[in-house]
Amino acid sequence: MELSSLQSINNEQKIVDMNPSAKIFKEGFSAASENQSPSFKDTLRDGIREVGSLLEDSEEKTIETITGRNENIHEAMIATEKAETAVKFMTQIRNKALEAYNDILRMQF
Amino acid sequence: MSDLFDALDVSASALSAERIRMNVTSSNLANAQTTRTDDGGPYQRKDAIFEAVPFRKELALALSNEPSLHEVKVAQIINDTSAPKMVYQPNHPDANPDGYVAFPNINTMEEMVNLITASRTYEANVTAINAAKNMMNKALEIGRK
Repeated sequence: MELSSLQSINNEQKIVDMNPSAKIFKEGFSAASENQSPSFKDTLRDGIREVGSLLEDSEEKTIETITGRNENIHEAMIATEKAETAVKFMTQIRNKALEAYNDILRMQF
Repeated sequence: MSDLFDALDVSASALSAERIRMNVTSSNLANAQTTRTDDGGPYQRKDAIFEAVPFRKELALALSNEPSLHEVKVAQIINDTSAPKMVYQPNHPDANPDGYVAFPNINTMEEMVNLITASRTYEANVTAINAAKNMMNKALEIGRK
């Protein structure tokens, strides 16, 4: 049985009215396409940028210590530890995201 | 993300302060017998004064809560104004008209204790940094199968 386009729109409206979660999904979808709220992609990108800045910071501190401009060795060491922890954290997030992605792919209908 | 590393930054400030105290103590020990300086007179014993500075005060006040973390800064390095030790050595080139030479009032034992204190405090703060880092790494293991 073929649904005419008018009938499909009518059905969609009925579904959205009956199911509140579908309403939220629809609003979120339109909001994301209008760029009203930061998407997951933006959050991820900001996070990766911050990890990059921590890595740059550790490199800068190490060079300062080696050339003798900064006498505090511990600052370079702590900056390195911060960068290492940030990278480990980022790796874990990536693992979880990939796992979620694979779970969704494995879904069968 | 910066909140995670607050403990590391506070401990880093302690390491810097203890390193400065170590330098001052080394200077005192090296100059325990110095009778002349650029200003004339014997070497004056130096002391490093620490003060607690609220950590990220502006941010905490903006969030309208009291800053609970304090980091340590060296406020100033002051000269000890106690009287120098007078030793009777009339043939010394720096002797005053009465034949007494003014030696710095530095107690070697006291400086050694300061040295040990600075060193142990340094180690304690390094242990604190390692503990904080291990806690963070353990948190990353949540959900690991």
